[in-house]
Amino acid sequence: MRGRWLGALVAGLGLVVRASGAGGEERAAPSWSREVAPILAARCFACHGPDAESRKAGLRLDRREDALRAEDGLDPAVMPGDPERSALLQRVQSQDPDERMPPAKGHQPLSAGEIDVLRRWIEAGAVYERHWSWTKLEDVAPPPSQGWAWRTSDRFVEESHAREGLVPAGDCDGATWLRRASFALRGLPPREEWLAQVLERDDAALREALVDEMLADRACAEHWARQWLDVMRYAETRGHEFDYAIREAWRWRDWVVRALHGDLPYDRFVMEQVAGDLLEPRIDPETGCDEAQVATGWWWLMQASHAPVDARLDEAERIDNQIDVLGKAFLGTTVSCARCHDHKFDDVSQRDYTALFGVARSTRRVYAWQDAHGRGAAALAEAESLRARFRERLGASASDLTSRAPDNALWQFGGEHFDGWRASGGAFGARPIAAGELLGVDGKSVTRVEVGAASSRGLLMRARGALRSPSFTIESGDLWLRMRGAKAYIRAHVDGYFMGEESNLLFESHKQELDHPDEWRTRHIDLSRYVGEECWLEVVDYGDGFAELAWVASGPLDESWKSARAAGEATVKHEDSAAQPVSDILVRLAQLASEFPAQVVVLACEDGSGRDAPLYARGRPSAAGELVPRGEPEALGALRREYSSLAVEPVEAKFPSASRRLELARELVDPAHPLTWRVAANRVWHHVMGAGLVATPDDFGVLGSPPTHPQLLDWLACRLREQRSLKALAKELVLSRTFAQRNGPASAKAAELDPQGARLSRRPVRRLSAESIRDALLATSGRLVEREGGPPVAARLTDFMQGRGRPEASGPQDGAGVRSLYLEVRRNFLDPFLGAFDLPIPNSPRGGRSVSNVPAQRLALMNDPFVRELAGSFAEWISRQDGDVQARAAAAIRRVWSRPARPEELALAAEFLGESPDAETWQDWAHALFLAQETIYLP
Amino acid sequence: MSHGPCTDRRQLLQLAACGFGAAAFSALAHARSAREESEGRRDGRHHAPKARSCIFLYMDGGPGQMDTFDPKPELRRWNGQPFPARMEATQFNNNGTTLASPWEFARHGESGLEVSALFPNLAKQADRLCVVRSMTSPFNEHTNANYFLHTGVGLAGRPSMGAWVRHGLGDVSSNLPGFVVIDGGLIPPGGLECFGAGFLPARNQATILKPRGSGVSFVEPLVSPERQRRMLDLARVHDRALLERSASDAAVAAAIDNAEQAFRMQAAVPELVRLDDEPESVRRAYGCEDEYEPTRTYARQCLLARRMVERGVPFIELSMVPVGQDRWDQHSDLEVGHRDNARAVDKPIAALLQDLEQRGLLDSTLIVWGGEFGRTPFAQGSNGRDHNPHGFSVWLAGGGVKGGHVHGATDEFGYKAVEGKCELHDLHATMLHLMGWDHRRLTLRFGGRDMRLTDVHGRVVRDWLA
Repeated sequence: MRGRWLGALVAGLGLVVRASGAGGEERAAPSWSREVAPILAARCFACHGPDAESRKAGLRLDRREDALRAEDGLDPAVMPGDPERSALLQRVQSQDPDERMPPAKGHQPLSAGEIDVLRRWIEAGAVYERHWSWTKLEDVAPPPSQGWAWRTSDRFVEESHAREGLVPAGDCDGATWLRRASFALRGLPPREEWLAQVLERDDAALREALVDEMLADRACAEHWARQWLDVMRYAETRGHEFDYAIREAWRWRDWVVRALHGDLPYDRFVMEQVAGDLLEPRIDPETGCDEAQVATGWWWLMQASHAPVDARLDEAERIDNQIDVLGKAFLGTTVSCARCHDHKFDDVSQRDYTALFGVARSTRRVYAWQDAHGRGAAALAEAESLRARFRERLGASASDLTSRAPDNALWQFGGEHFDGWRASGGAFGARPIAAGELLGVDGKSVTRVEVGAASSRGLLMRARGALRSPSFTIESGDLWLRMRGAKAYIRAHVDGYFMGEESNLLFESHKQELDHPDEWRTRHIDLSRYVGEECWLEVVDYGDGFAELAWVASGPLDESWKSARAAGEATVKHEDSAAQPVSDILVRLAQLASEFPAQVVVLACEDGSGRDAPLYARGRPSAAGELVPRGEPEALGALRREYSSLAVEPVEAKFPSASRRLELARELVDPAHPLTWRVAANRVWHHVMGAGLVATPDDFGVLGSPPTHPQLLDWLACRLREQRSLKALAKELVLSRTFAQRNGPASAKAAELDPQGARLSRRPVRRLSAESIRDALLATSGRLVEREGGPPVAARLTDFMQGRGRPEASGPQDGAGVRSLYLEVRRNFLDPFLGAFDLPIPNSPRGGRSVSNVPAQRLALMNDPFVRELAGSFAEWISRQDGDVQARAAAAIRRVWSRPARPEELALAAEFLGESPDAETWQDWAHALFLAQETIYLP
Repeated sequence: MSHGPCTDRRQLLQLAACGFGAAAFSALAHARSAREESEGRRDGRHHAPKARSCIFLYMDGGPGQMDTFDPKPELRRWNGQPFPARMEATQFNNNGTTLASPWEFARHGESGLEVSALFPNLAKQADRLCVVRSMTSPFNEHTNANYFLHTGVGLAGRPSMGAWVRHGLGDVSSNLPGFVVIDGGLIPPGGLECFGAGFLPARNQATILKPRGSGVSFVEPLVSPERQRRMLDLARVHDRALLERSASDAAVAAAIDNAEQAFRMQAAVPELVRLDDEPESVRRAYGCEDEYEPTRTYARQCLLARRMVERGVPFIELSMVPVGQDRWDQHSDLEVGHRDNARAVDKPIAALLQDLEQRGLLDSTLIVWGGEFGRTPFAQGSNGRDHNPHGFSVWLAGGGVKGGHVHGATDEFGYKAVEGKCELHDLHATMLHLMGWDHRRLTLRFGGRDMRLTDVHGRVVRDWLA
């Protein structure tokens, strides 16, 4: 049952009118979500929470009705209004180590402050509320402003200042604002002309115009894309032993840049990533490719190892990572905690996890062929009609052609459809080829097929494509495929395992290259290690060859079926003749073939057979229980339905979604969804302001941080829901007065009330991200090279980076001058410079990076030859400036710190540089500017 | 978000009210030293440690337990015959017949601890070793098993043992990093992530030190010390001004700190790696002059480890040296491969134990020797052994550990742990215990959970403790 907070909490609501939280009242009821729930969750729920399996003494404290239940004449855990008779309070205060909760062994007792919160909470009636992020998202009217607010969002902040007795820090100057804004939006220092404008005339209109210009800059999309890449644990290799490459990963990275650059509506941004392959295509006007399909690539960017001894466990790990990303990225929910047991703190059950597991399990990883501008499809359609005309002119073949297949065939092709297999990429056409049909073109002669088969040359040899089977359970260790072909392969995917394409260890015969275009052979795939596992087959025509498949059989096979060329299967040629003219068809086919456009290969999802997943006891695939219907977590579905006042817009689907991924995608962007919009709005706030309103951007659960300004967050979430524009939201924030505050507190009292700046009475200094540091150094040195996507620049390797999978050669020291976004992300060989500045290891979502402070950062800035090289370039730039030493120094300071030089800084420069500094002295001085904290810290 | 060392903000802000500048800066320095003093007393540990430093001798690839510390005469009887017990799935699934160890075992020291002929020098230290013959791992593939051995989870992305130790110490200031991997040349399968900080702040990640050359990444100055000092001095003046303008922002203050520490590291690291300072006799004892090149490299690693222990580095890991064979991972040619690997490490490790003892440091240094799993008692092919996580040997020595002691046992073939079965979580828990932490309380909140090295497992194995 999914009652949990729902039924229980509604009953609890309205029992007691709580103090408004204005502070000052002596016995104010504490806030459930900010004060009470975090204590109960952290200290009690592990044994007395939603997870039945780990529950002790049958007590659960996460539901009011359970907490209030008295048993065996004892006091209930919670007696509303009477703390002293509440066992909960007695036990946490007990001096007796056997009585005290949490148990003395391994746990600290609750602090006096925590106990006081619980006491006041019980006194006030022990009101349970739904966890804040699961409540209905409702539009909030902004409070009135007394004049401080510049933007609507500021009105919430102004109101909180007044309520908390905070005096805001005051406004920063125009140049400081500009530098902040440029790094927040573009990850780069501002352009000189912007700085000149701000220094000349700093007003609201100018700032807005500049923000519009920054938002329209491609650099903005690149910067925000890098932040999204963190969330989606983007990498271009698999890590583990050999760090195998993830082919075409960068196409997804470029999709993110294009999507953000075009400000793709946020709902579409989510839906394409979750299920773009199932949506009607969205064609990029420039490339002519289907953007929606490319968007699904992130599903497959996980770490992966080869040769797993337990293929099913390996699948479970892979899917666990997908669920982890999906849950945190879009829902801010740690769903993957419910892999082995019901969530200990949040209302997510193992069933919910398993429902998503079924979705992922029914989704396949494929390399898909994109047909730019649909040109290939047009050619294939024409070829198809030519084939029909050919058949009309020649009639049935003269010989008696009967397609035969063994009795234990699982599939036989040659009929009117693929019998549940799905052709993609175009090469296999819309149906198998029947006996007697035109197959290939060779000069003036043509080949006609002698047996029915699924064939990728029936249309055009140059077309690529794949044919994929439904999923089946392996019942026999022997699988037989009657095939011929070249530049093509067949492959069995057991439990979705795909690393076999890098190393076939343990899966030796699962992938087989076809190199016998003229000869039918029966290929054998040995599945004996995997009986009982799930499998699907794939026939791939990846080059200027073809693949043909007549039948697939399972189990013992008579020798007669294994011969290289069974009787009655000889290929015949047909010469053009006056009686049967076909040369016009042949000429046109040859022309189509020669003009056939190159297809673009992308890493993407494709729906497989729909398969529900079983509950795995303690998360172990070896202990499978009942099947759970795949789809959205029930708990979230229930909330959406409860909150639904707005209809979900219907979405045009390309295919019926066997995985239910499409439905899941729609449900995620349901306007009634309580999490989606809040999580996304908080991410925007986090990136602009440097810290989220919810400090844990990937965890909106009970153990995450509650929002510092809940109403502001909801207002922002509603704007996003309404406008669907990330850029509009970012603009609102960059132009806000909250963003433009000075670093320091206005007074000692403000410093005490708002020590971290989380109450938004000031803006603390922020350190630039690793990428921004590198990119800013490049830009300042005049070495930044713009590029529009494409394959990454090879990773730079130092002698300290060793190990298996190390590329033979290092990439360039300066990364070819491109923005860090375009540097190769090798899991086992992360960039040493970026790594020093907290580049995350890309394995699980990181909506917020850690900002560490280590000597290695200084060492890198001092002694990395890359930095020294850039200091040289910067010195050259400086020497090209007009004027004397002082004027040049002033220009350099203005360039590196985006503000005019101060007189004392120029005096220091004069002292360092002397009257006529040589190139080396200039370089040292430029390097010293790089070493100064202002280069990497934003005041 | 963590910002590293913090300063006493309130004090600074009071100062701010009456004017910033140099006063703020010196107050900063003062606040810092006061903090360090107070932390000298606590230094983040939960209880008084037996060992202040740990050296993990990582036997990459998985040495065969029946060839090293777990004698199995029964294998002789079955040698060359089909393996007489049930065989679990192995990675390469190319199982041959039962394979007896090519090496003789003998009893050593007062304890009579059995050590194979692979380790003639180490055998003389038998009375210092606590051999655990019943270790197990859930993984029998290198990468997962390496991650598990190092981080307690079989996937990349978690903090390594050394990172947890460094994290547990909190804000300590030192000229040297707190977690160092001395890289003999073989970064294990799984890569540098075996030594990562995971979700802990980056300062806890391993610093990779090479036993040759400058030692550490970017530690070699690119310009003369005078010029560099001049640059840093200029940067520092700018930094003071920034600190003032930013109302003594804690992050800026900490970064200024680090600039100085980095500068000091430039001197401390070269001083550390200057092994020429060591007397000839010591260098010779470790094997720095050995005729076998891998022994010379591992000797330098061991000697560096001792020098780091002397300088207070809390966690040091040694990665293996290439011997031409594939680490300890002898899927074939067991006899050659194990012989060469043992030859590389035997003398240096023995010297390390003896040297630490002579300097009075062994009592406060924990030494752990082991691989990610062991090897099968049956052959892979004709003369190799496949991976075996079901029962294998590791040993501990030094601070707080019972010497000359054997814990647990495998079955008659050395295949599976049958007595005193242990998990690597137990090893982690016990290591942390010896170093002053309760493994259940050394945690960090990440992704909605209180993460720890031992996940939800692990126990301190009292039987190993002195």
